[in-house]
Amino acid sequence: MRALALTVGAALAVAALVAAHLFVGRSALAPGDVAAALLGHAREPAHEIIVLRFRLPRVLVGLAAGALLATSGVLVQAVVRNPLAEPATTGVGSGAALAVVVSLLVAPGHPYVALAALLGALAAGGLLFLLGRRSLALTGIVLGAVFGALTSFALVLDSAPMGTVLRWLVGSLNARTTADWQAVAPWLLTVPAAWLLASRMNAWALGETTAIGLGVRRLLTPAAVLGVAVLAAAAAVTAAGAVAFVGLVAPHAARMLVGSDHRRLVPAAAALGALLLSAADLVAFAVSLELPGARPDVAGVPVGAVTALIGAPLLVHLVRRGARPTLQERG
Amino acid sequence: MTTSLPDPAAAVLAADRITVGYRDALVLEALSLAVGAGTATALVGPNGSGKSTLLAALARVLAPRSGAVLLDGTPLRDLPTRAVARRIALLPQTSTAPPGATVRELVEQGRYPQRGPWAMLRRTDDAAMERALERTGVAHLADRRLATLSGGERQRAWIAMALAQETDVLLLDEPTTYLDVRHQLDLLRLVGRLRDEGMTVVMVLHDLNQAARYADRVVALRAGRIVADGTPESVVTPALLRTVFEIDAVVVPDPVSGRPHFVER
Repeated sequence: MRALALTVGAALAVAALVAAHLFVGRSALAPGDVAAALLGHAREPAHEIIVLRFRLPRVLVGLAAGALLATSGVLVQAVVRNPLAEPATTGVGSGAALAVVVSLLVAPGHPYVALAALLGALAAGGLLFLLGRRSLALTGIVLGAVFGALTSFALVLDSAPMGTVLRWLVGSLNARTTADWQAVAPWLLTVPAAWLLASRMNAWALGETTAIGLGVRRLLTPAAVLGVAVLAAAAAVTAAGAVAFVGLVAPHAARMLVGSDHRRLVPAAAALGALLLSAADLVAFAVSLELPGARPDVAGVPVGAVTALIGAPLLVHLVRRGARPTLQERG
Repeated sequence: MTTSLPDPAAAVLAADRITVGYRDALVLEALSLAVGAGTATALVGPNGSGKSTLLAALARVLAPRSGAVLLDGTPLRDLPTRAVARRIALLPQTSTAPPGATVRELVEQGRYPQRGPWAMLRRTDDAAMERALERTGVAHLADRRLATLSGGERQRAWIAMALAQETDVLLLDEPTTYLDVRHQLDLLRLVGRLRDEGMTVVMVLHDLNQAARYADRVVALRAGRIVADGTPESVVTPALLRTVFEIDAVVVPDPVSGRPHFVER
């Protein structure tokens, strides 16, 4: 009953957000015009371009990236058994940013920035696997710091790619295209993949010794969970940049709603992550419209600025409300 | 020694000249121990004697560098880990539970070896879970969060998790640690009943008197070696207390069970 209510609530919230994204914009379109454009018989060609090429991809990419970040967060937290871990703990976001900078320094203005980000993210994930056998969390944090330092160093040498890189580091959904949506959509398969690992994560949550006693494979299981986490984070970072807090706050809020059983936590966190990022993007977009010169384009307010502003106090609130991010010892 | 120790070939669980260590420190060297079916064995010894390491090796948590742990004669390393989990349940000394988990959710995890990870994607309450909840006296707490329970109740929930595995071998690492006296005795009596039903129990116990009273066999370790092994009467002696635990004590028969009971001098 509760599960049904939550599912229906999430679906309604997604529908409301999509509608809001489709109706809000620089050009005031009547609801009828938006609906007509969606159904394929727009009254004016401009309507079709505005709704289908600008507004729809942006909301879809936002929902997808949010779901991916939250899913990655749940998985990373499960592996290291620490609810304060997040996708950034893997160093994948920093790897993507470094790859973007290096690629722009080598070939200024090239159009394959997203590809560079994806390759950088995947390479960072691969390094984590190679080096992180002893301590995944520590290795990921160290990798992130090293990539960050190299990124700064590269920007000091040549600051031309600064704007692009900054948007990547903060995270932005401005000016997403249908191609961006098509690029991120297949990666949504990592969400069901994460769910399929739920029972293993539940056993793993009881501590490594207990999990081994239950017959969980001590190397394969964390590797599989982390592998899916890296793929989801890489896809999210490629689509939206290294957006802060969604991968941390969404799993937290989901845990408060449905508990820590991964069979319910994975879908709940994915839904909340999608909602959170897309809602924050609506705020970013609305604020961009109000700015002098109204530039809701690439240079508009990046969604990552909004998630950081909302996410940080929200996290403090969640932690203080008793959803303390501590694991409980048996005694 | 008054007991006839089981022949390794006939033992359910046996360590066959295992050498176990962490990094460069060896904890156990070429140690052998054979555990017969349907017996309750207590591993005792001072801190750092290797008793928990031996239990971890028996549970395949630590892999021996040489030698092998045998389950019905087959090395554990040759068996799929989940197949081992259907035969051997382990309650480690410390475990963590996710915040908000309920007793039922914890006990359900004990069904992992039987059901497997794919079937575990569906929530199912089964008879084994109910039996485990009943036996440990936590059935009435099944839907409570672990965080809201007392230390003793929580420990019993963890034992219920191990019992839900319905294995024939149960390994317990200091199971009485978090319990008050009454719950310690409840637990040890439960161990006795499980043994009477044919379960093989190996437990690390700190309290030598409890080991003498509730185990059929006491194995004393010191510095990674077995220094005494046999019935409680043959192991719990003033001489052993002096050499292994460095205490000066007299041993008297416990007036209730007749088992040896030591009193410090």
